[in-house]
Amino acid sequence: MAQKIINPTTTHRTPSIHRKRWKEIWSQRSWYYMLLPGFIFFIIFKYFPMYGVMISFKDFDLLEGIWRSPWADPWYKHFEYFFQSTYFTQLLTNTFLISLYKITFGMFPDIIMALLLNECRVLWFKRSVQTLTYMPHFLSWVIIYGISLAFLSETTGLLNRWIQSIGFEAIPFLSSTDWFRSVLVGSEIWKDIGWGAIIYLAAMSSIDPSLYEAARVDGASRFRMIWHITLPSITHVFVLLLILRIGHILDAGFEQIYVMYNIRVYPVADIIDTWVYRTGLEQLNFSLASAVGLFKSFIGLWLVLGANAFAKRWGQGVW
Amino acid sequence: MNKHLKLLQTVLAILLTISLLAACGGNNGTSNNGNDTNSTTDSGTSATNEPREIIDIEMVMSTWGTLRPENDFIADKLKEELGINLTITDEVELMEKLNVRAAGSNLPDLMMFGSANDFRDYAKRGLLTDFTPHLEKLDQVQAFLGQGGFDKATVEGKVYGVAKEPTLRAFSYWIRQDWLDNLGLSMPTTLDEFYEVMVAFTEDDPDGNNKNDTYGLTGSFGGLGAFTPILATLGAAPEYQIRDGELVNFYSDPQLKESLTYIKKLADAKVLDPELTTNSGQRMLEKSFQGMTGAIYSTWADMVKDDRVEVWKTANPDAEWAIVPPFQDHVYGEAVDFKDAGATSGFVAISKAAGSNEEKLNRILELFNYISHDEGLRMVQFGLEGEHYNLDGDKVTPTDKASEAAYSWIYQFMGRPEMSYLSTKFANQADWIERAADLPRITTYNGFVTKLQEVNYADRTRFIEEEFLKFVYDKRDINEFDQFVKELKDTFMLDKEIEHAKQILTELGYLKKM
Repeated sequence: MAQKIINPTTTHRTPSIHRKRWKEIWSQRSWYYMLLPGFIFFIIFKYFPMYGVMISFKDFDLLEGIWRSPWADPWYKHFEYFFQSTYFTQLLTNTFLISLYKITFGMFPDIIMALLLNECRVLWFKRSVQTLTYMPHFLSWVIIYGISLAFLSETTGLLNRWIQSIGFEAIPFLSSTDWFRSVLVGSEIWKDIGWGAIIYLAAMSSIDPSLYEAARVDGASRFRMIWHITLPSITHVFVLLLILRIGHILDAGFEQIYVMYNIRVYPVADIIDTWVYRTGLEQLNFSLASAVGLFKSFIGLWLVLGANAFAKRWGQGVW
Repeated sequence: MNKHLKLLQTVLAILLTISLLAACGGNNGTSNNGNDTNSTTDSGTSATNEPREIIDIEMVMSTWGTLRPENDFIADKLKEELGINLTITDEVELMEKLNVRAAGSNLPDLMMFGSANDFRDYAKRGLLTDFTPHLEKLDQVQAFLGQGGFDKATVEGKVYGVAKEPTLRAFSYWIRQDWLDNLGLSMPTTLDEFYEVMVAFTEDDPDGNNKNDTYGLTGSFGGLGAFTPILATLGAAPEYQIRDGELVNFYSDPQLKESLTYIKKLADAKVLDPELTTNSGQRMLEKSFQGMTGAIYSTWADMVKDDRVEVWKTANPDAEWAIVPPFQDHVYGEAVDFKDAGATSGFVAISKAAGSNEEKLNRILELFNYISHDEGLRMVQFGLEGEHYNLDGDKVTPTDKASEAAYSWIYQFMGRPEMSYLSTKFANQADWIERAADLPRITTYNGFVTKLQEVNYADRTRFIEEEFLKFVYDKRDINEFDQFVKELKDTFMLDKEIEHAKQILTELGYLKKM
């Protein structure tokens, strides 16, 4: 039956095409070898562990192991536990909002930084600024919390001492629901601005210099060149990063928030991950933690697919 | 987080593989016990005349990175006295390692559990030896720890281990004596006077630097920790106490409402460190030592150890800290704090396999007795007599080589007599320790009460802390306290938990049957 449907000419051709393709692959084998380590990495560290996703549908018991633990009854038990938490809506809102703020306020400073560095003609200055700005990326959040405490603490903070000395009331930056999210976003921008700029800088360095030369001949100013050459050339990187970030929208920055938050700001700062940490991991409820992780990955996957489809309409999709 | 989770899953997968391998490896640790000689059932002291066969005993615990020296004289002594070759394995990830070994039915002979939940879990799974039938052999342990040592380790009516004595509870309010003197105030003896002092500390410039830069009280807000002596004076203590023969739960206790009202009064007067809710780790101590606040709920180990004194004397040479005695306007008796009768600093248990080997079990019981009295007990505290300490009557004086025996605490499986131990090791602070330890405390029974499976305790903790915060900082009227209790009952099954606690404490005999 099947053979009848297939066009006789193609059946005839297939073997030779196959052979040709294999030949081509074989001739390019060194490239494929280079692909291999990455491929194995993904198999071992990304696909193989998916076996463990099973525990989100089981009542996982450390002693019994993944396979022997009994199935949860009903199968969505742990998901239900999460959805029925008193704080579910608040957690979801906080996670989305904090992520959204971080994306909207966090992406443009990176670009501006990259543009400034790119335009800088004094090489030693450019280099030292670049080093200085990407250093904080390597600091842990605990240290950054220490630094922010030294500046923002209500009683001992430098900034608040200054505010008080000019006659205003101290502002509880770290324990006020009005300020806390701004502190989160601000400290993240400070930490990652230099690091984020690196990718854009790399994209900018690959722009064909003849474009700038042509523009200069035409009498374009620097701002014109930035607007018409630099920015359009990095939009694809921007879109790529945006799509990746959207995929991680439910990761609002666990480490940062866990280090910085306190009871007073729970209503604006408690996110899914901190809740999972307190409820799931601290109480050895791995099934719950895994279920929430699966839920987050699921949402993240759809968001990435959606964002890419959306970007494609503008001719900017990643794939 | 996602990454963490995946990492965790990988780790679990690897653990599973290892556990399978371990299962194949089999129990070569326990099978070579040799001829089953008739056991020496005499309890207590050890030295039998004929040399006995040396038995290997493996113990797994977390020693928090404490290293034993190459020539471990305590292990040598135990081999000599009891004929056991005790090896201690330090595991940082204790429970994970034990779980893997349990899965391979290859548990070590002896285990030290840090948490009551883990211990009870293992007991319920039948992984531990029930030594109810051998209790009479443990006469020295009984004499040392009292019945409590076994009660705390009782699961479903059977004794599955020994609970170590908890470390000494010595918390109370500490206050800047020199600030009191500067302001011409006397030590507060009632809650009202305490309030007055706090206001004076905040407003009357107690450090005399002409700046409005001081506060009354610091500490941490979590669990109302900073206010414990106030709670205790008013009779409230987290989470279960027995008052006039009745079980009282902290959250539904009217005395908690009284306490919150008083704390609110402090908050209204702005005498509390504004960062009470963000303080963590050592931060409140730093603030106290730097002279920002004049009172703190703390303990001798944090306040008057030599290195601490140096810190606050450097910051301010005139500083002087003193313990605040119990307030006299108490409701149910003097108290500065609470003390958990169910508290322990660890559970020692014997694996099922080791327990079914009579010879091995007997040696282990001998070991327990040996380190519970006289020479054995002194050895695990101070080292060897004549070398690390000298004995004069009852008094132990450490020698200059005492530091060599610093690792000996690892061997304190049965705990230690806290008071005499600390006064010997911290001779400079002995006076403070004694005074702090002698202060009256409300007895609580939290250590015995297990959690309910169906309650999300993380959410509950958050709910409670947030409501406390609202009550104290005037975001919620204190008259809604009953409403708060009702919410706890409706959402977090407080009533069911109280019933559950009642049942456990009645079974253990702490509560009279109705």
